Amino acid sequence: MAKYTAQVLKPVDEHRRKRLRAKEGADVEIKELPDKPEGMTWRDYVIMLLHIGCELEHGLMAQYLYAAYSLGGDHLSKEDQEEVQDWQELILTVAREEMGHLLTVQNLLCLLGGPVTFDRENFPWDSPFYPFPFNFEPLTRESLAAYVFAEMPGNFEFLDKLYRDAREGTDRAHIRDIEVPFLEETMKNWVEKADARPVGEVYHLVHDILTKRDLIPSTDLRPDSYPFQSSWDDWGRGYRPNPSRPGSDETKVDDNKANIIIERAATRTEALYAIKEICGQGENPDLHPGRNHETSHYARFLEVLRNYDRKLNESPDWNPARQVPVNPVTASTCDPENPPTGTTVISWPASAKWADLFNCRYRMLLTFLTHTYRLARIVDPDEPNTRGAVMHRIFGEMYNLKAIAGILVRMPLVSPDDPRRAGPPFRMPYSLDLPSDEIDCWRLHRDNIAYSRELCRALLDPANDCLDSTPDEGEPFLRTLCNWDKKAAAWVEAVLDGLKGNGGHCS
Amino acid sequence: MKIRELRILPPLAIGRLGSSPHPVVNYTIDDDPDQPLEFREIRPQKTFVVDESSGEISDSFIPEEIAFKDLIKGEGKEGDVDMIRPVAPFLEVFAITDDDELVPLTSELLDEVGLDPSAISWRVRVANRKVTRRTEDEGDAVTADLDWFSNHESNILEGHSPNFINDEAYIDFGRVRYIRPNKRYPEIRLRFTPAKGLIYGPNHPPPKSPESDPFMEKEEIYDVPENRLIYDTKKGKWCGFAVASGIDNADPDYSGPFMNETMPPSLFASVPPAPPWLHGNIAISRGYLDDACDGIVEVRLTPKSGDPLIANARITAGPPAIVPDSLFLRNLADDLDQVIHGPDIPTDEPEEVTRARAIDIVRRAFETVRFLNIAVMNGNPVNGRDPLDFDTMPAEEAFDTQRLMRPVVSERTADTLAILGLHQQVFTALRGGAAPWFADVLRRPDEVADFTNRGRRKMPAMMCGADGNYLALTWRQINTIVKASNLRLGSGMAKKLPNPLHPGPLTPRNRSAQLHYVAAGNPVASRPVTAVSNCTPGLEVDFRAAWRRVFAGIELREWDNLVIRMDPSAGDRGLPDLSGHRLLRVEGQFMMTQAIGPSPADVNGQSVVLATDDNPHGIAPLEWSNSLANILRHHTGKKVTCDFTAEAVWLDQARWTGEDGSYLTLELEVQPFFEADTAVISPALAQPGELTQGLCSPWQNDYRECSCYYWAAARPDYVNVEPSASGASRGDNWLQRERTGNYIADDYVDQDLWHYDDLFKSWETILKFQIGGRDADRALPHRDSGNGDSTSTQTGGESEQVY
Repeated sequence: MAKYTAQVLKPVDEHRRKRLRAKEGADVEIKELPDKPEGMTWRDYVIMLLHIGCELEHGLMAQYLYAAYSLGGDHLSKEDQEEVQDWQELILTVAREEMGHLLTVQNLLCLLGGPVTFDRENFPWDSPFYPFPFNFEPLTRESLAAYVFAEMPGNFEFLDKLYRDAREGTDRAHIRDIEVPFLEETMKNWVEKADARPVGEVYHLVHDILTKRDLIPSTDLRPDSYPFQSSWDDWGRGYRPNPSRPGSDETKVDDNKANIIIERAATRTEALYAIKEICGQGENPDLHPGRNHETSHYARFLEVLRNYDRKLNESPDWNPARQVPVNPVTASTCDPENPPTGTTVISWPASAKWADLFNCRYRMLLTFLTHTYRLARIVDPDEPNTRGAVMHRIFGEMYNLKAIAGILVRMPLVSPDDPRRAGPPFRMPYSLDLPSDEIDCWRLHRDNIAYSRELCRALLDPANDCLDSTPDEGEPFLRTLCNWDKKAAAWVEAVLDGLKGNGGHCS
Repeated sequence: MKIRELRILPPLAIGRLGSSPHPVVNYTIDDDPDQPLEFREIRPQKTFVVDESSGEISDSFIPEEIAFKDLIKGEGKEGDVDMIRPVAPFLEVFAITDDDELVPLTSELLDEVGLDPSAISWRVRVANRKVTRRTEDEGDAVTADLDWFSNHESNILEGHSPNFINDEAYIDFGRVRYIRPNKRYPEIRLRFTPAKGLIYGPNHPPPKSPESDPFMEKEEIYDVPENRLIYDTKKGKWCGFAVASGIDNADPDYSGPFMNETMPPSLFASVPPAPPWLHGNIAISRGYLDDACDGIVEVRLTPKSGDPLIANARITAGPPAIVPDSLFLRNLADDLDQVIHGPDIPTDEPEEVTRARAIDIVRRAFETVRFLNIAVMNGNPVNGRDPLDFDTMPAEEAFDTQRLMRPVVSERTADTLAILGLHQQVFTALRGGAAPWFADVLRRPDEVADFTNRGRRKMPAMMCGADGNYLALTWRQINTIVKASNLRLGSGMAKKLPNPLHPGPLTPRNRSAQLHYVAAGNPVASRPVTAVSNCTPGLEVDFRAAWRRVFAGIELREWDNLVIRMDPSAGDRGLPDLSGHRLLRVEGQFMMTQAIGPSPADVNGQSVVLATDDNPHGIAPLEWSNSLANILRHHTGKKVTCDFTAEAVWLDQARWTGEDGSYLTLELEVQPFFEADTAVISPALAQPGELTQGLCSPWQNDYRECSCYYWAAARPDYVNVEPSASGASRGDNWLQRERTGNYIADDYVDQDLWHYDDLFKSWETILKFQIGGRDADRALPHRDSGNGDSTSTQTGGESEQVY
């Protein structure tokens, strides 16, 4: 993350150290903030920190998805497959919740008048906000440790205090004796000092800056952005606990179901609340938070780690994941003879095409996502129009990615005889910037659809022999997707016709 | 070879009304693997030509096109006349041999056992009890009882009624014909050709309504032709019949006599101005009857010695299948399959079957969404007009719960093409091997009155179920999705999944195969899969009526837990008089739920009971089909513990308090739903005419009153839909007079929409078939299919032959 210099990161570290000392009981004036970087206003700095937050959320989400998709395989017994399926669901649940965090942070950017962003670096990505490089890799004990660390509620000293008094034989004691030392050791393998920053650190600084009216005056806030912000109503899709029954205050929180938090903010107070909510969902240290409260990402990953250890105790070679590659890439995005360090080339032609299709749909998703924020400002917010339609298409693309990833992890990496399988590359497009003109945005959608159709046709073409090494469901999926894209293209043309007839303005 | 038993297949055949002399040719529907998101392809199938004079099948052919409507030139006062082609199903007789095989009964087989086709005779009993259901006067039942016959004539089903003007007057319910077997077509079969869809009326005009509506005064009132004015107003009270408005309004202070109102109420042609809810809630019956019916066909084989063998099947006659290339999300086959298999999915069901059924449910979901104007059904303002002015589920909910109206989902996201696309993307992902991830957002049948934001957004959304609340799928459908969601990646996937409508080999005890049996010559529109099952009250049958006598000794109301009367056998069973009591629990399971909604103090976090003056505990009865699915599965033929209210509670819903003395516990026997080893709904549960008695009289009236939140893919609402420049959809209201592409919202009095009397007069012209989502009266197949016996194809016929 070269664009973020040591100078801009320094305040985060200073602030973090202070917070940790305060947590440990030191007499520290936490309200006193570090100096801001030179050359930036506080508002600008908060926006930059939120951009870092977005990148981290996006990166983590993609990483969790990859890990989840890697799980399973015919090498597992039926019972193990069922158990691993539960883990997969748990990790996917966390990924869905990260999506909520990402949208909430976009909302905060709207409130501060900053640009929304869905950008992130391609993997491997060495971020100073992360103790280890972001990698797409199959789920391993080490990668799980990384996820626990990413969501951890403080440093190891804090964890030590948290579990020091745990009674023998309890979950907490197990964490103290087994998990925490393992985490610490793993981290040390990655970073020189165990002082790396969990994700929440960025938000803690944003939170504390926002509390200071002298740094971020009310005039810096844009309450009028509220209608343009993402809402749970639009994006939550039912992922929330049921309301309590009449006469009861008990809401049923089910840790196996996602609870997507998408907070909108029109005021400073709402912004601070939003930050607390997403931090709490990630790093609440309570392993069994009791009724009405959900278990945090940290605690959930810790639970998977414990179960992983249990399986390893039974069988030291046990592996829950398929043989999917680390940071898969295709020849269309790099020189296959000289791929970027840390990446693995999907060289089997059919798999590479599927991987390109995955990337294409991923691009479509991100383009739609970016576009919906722009559309929010130029179309009627209360009527069905392009904004709502684009929103639904984003979900459609998520479903497509799920299906294509499921196919890819069962396809050859280099050849059908080789046990190694491919994986979804999650390649970032060269740019997420939308064209300035609305007409050109829709032409971009048209291009993306056209490319997808081209790839589908190529995969279906008997001359290319792609279907022989594709799971059975691949062919009907491609035909259905082609059909869908044909309809999508007609829809885009209708919108384009309207824009052209309307001087480029939305109707 | 011996013939042990007989069966008639299919066990339930649906005829569809129409006045054309030519029945619809045989067709089926299939999805196109190259374009699976498009409408199903209508594919012509081998069609029989029945010789009018001999009554035998003289030929068969593969049609070049499938016409649903004929335009007859120059007939009638006003020139050209549209005639809808009826669906006239065949019913085939099967024999169970001493080898325990189920084989077609043919003249050859009869010959083998020393008999000939004259040993076969038929009896057909059908009825229209719609008026009786309202007036409770048995004299209003219109019944046709065609006693045993063996001829091959086209026998008229003459529906007579004590309350008709004389014994000669009758409603023509159609024809039945024992098809003469011949060498080429030796099978024993009967054909049911339903009636024309005519309306019959009273011999004296009904009283005028005290209400008036200046906007509707110019409307031309339908004149029932003189020869069909057969209801004697001096004998019966149907003409001028009105439901006490206190009941209709659910007035808590109502103290008049109990009237066994239907649900929805006042489902009949009423004296103008209509509809009643916009005109003082006054519904005075015009005294109309229709020629729809349902009943039982019996076949008898009389051997040279010994007892005759008899088998039954059911027939019903309902409206045309307007959208022949789509299937509704929850259809009658789903409910009947649930009765056969129970609500749970066996753990050993092959994974590909579960997957195929889950995918099929999603497919039918998008086929249903297509015809819903989602923006309107969501409760969005329509061009700035108050959404409360339009008939939608959110509006119904607001009226019922006496709360402010709220849209179901965010207004900006509610558009037909967008939601359709989302469903199609789900379908695409499932087709690509993804396991369903949305089981949690399916509405459970006991959550239908959960009006919290979360509850009302569950799937299926915005539509009405058989209990008048939000629609839920059958438990079996839900459990299919749940099971599919737990399947491993890639397991049970194939390039071509099994057809979920072909449930295994035809055997004497495979009820499911019998239910779904495709009789030769029968178009798919004759099968339960094309009939709706969210019966409020339904189109082809009112499936709620099949459950009324499921507990021996009592008769329940079809739409709630009120014991309407005792069966004559109740005394022998030692049951007290439970008339007016309410069945609260069966085996501890509630027969009703409680309406809850968002707490105004915390809309998403807390819920409150949606109490009203007339329903202080917000009690909402649940539909029988889902409520009793488990009971039927595990307790048929056995006694179950039933808890009734201690006292009669005729008018109001009752809640369960569990307090001593508040309820009465009795052991009641659960009656078999089907006749032994068949998929024929037991006559003990429903006599002829009872499966359709809850439907509207005449049915055409309901096509005006029912919006698309009932049966979108059967009675469409939003047609000719295409993307607009705004990114949302545009299209027509199916019932709007002019096709403009600008949907006219249905406020019931808009002159730009067809009205009641237009439908009574010209329903065959007004009701436009939808093929590919567009107005069309005929379908051109994409490719050849099936095998006819003729060398040539035919498309029409002016001869003595019918199809």
